[in-house]
Amino acid sequence: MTTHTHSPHLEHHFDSLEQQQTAATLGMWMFLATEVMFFGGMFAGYAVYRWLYPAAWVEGSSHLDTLWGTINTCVLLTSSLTVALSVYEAQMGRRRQLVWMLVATMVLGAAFLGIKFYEYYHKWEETLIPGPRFNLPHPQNAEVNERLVEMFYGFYFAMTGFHALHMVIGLGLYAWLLLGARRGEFSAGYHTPVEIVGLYWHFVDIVWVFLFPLLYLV
Amino acid sequence: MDVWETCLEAMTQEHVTTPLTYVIIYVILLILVGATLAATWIPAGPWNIVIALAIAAVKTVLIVLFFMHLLHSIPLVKFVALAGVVWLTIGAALTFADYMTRGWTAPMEPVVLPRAVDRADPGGETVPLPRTPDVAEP
Repeated sequence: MTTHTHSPHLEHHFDSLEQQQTAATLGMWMFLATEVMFFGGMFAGYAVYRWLYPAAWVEGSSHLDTLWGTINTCVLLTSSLTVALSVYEAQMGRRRQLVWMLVATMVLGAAFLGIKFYEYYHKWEETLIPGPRFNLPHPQNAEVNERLVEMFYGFYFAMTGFHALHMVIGLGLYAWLLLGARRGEFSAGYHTPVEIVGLYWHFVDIVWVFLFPLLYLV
Repeated sequence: MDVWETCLEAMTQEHVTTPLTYVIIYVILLILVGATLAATWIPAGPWNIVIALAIAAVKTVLIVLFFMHLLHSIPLVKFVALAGVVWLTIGAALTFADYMTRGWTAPMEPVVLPRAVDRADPGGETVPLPRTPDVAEP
């Protein structure tokens, strides 16, 4: 067959565009399953140490600002809404609205990271970053073991740090999507990248949905 | 938008979730965040974490089914998503089984192995390999 009678987006090892899109979705879900194991390891470690040292966990969590944690949770949930709407706009082939939803997602993601690093800066000022400079200034529980509270903060920074890293990667992916959307690369017939990057972003949101109560609401 | 995409728009069997559905799920998610916060002020001892995790699980299910379109995905994709959860459960279960059963048995005496004989140097001086002890020296 010398003439090509299919969409320019169809790769030749697929029979149809629908099969190609389903394969992309399947691939992203398999990657997300590995990400579940990645974060799951840290959650398991957190669970063991929380079970062993509950008083230190209560103490460590009490020095985290629940207000900003809640605001960040709402920011991220809103970004998941804009992501879902971006997929809808792509399905409808509405380029201008798609661009707006992608921009909104990026703004919310950046806001989350801004708040997060503001929190980290606060922790630096309060000398609560694990290391030689760690010092618990005003413990609510005077009998708590400071080393164990430092362990809590080790988990806090590792887990939220890896989460923030995933957010930064997500922002990069959305910047890439935004460029493509502005160039008119996505349409009702082809918007697979918008969908699968959306899956990644929703996963990162789910990780935060678990991080918030486990770290801030002990 | 080229000719192909226009035709495919008519042919596609892709399920479109409406913005209204997304907004409803979003509002429910926000309500659940409020519920999580409210639950922290109810003293329930060890059950507080159970309630918080249960609410987080409900939020996850909503995000996965609706925002991530799993409800309308082909069964193979649903299976892979489920498999991820299953593997996490296996990892968590075995990890906790280890830690929670520590100290259930008495520590074992270290086994004394017979000294290895070097066939190339049977009667001669053999330097024993350094061995890291499994248990701390008393």
